[in-house]
Amino acid sequence: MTNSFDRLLREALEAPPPDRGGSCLDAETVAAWCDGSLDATARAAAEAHAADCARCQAFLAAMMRVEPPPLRPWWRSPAFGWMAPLAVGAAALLIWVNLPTSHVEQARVATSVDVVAPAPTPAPAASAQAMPRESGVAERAEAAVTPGPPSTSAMREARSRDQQVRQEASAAMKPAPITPLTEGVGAPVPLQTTPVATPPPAVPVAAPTTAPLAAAAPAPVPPRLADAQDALSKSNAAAAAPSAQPTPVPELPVEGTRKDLAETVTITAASARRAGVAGQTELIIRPPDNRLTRWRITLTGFVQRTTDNGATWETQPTGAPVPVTAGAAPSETVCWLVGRGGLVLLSTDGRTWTRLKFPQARDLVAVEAANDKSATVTAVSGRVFTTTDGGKSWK
Amino acid sequence: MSRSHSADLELAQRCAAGDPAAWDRFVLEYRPVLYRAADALDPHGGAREIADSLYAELFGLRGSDTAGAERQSLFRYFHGRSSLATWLRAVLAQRYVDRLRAGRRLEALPDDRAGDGPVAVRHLAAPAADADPERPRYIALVAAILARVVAALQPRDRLRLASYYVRQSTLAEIGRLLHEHEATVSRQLARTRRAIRAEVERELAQAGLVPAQIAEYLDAVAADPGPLDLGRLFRGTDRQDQMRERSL
Repeated sequence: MTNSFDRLLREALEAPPPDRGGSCLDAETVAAWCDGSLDATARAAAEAHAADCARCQAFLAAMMRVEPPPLRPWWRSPAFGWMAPLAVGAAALLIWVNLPTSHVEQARVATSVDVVAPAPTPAPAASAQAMPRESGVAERAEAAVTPGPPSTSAMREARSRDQQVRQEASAAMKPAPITPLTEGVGAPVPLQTTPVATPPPAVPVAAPTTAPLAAAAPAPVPPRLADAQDALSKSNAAAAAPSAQPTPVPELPVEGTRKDLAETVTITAASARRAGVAGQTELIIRPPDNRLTRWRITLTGFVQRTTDNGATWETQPTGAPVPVTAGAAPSETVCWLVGRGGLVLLSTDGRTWTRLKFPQARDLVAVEAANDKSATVTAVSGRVFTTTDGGKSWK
Repeated sequence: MSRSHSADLELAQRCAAGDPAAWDRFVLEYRPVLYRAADALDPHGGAREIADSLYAELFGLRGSDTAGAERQSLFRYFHGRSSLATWLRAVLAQRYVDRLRAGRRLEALPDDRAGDGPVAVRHLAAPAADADPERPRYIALVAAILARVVAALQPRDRLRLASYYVRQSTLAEIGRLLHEHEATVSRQLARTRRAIRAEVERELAQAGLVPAQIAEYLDAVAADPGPLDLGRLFRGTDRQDQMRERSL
């Protein structure tokens, strides 16, 4: 039907039209038409004539055949037509490649979880002066559990995470390097910090530890924790040099609290995300009675220990095939580490690690330890397992 | 007149006056233009002869047989309303079309049009509807309505249709002619075609035909117009009206 109608239309158009008068178009008029230099009236007249004149139609058709196609603007050239999507794709690729890095960088700068044992005495002003100007969330979290001088590690540790060992001139001024953990951005593994509590801190912890820590819902910063942070900020501001501006960092809600035993303070992934530090899973484990010794779990899964407050770090092979998620150090030589799949590691000499048998292959997210015999671990499901014989049996 | 056209006009006038330097420049710049246009018209080289002739006319002496022959260059018809290159192409195209049409007038019409699809179909189609005594009537009816609807179109629409259906120009060529984008040409063609069809069907319905009959008539007329010459039917409005009155 359509083809037949087209055929009919063609027949009708081929027929000689009625003579409407007017002379045929001359070459100069057609040339001016093609060049667009005919005025509107002349062009309308030319179109009206050509519409009914077979000769002029043929003339125009031949003219269009010999007329070279107009030059396209450069942005409509075929080459550019390919270049545009290629450029967009390249840009998207660059963004895709760089975006996670940016997040990591942001998170790296934003926070590094570092909770230390509380010092028995309040921090002197000199200690505050020794703090790095860019105090981070780690210090805030540390301040929440201890009244002593906060750790100096947060920001500089984050920035130097790619270095295995960084020599620092002053242990108080220079933080220890931090190696990234393997969890990566957005990993659901909760952040664990290990405060060790013995004497009652000057700034008491707001809430008692609730088991399981990792499974607990994120809670807002307790008022007293906020007070501690404020006090810390004021102390930093008073001690800081005029040119040293404390870097604003997001407040990281810390869940859990300290007890009279080494324990883990869990910063859940949700709270980390709220604080803009998702994916940052640096884990520092400090014994309660020694400020020079601490362990850290790097992002690549290495367990490292320092006995000189971060000046040097010793990498300790654990043989653990899965990431460590939490740890507790009741003393400078005893440290418990737990991880996914029922991973429980124990070091009683501070150097070598032993994997303990665990009854179930559960993901463990928190550990509290009183000594090398007694420890309580918490699974991701919230179930708690306790041992009193160094991991030989679990209840 | 644009600056470039002024320069072209100056060159043309100098060539017309016989300035050797101007002619050398013209040969260098515009002879390839002429030959490219000739090859575009006839890839087999048939238009090269026209290009050479035109080239000779642009340069040659024409006029009186007296000793003081006056230079009669074709350049005197160029007034700078367009670029010189476009004008040269237009002159070449005009001469090519004229020669083609003159040659066709000397040939027998059936042989000349044997290659045309619709006409060939018209001549080769079997008289399938000979048994229908009403066939000539509705053929004339459809043809008359169609011709009247086409004639009532805007000149630009009619030129666009003729360029596409009759001259077999591409959308790009029509777009260049009418200074429209190809997509606009396509859209306007579709719109005009729909309007024509709607008008034809409306008039056929007014004539008392039902949709099924309308479709049948259109198909039948397109497949086999029969002995009627649609061209003659469409020749004049008066005759169209007469035909319509007769058919009705």
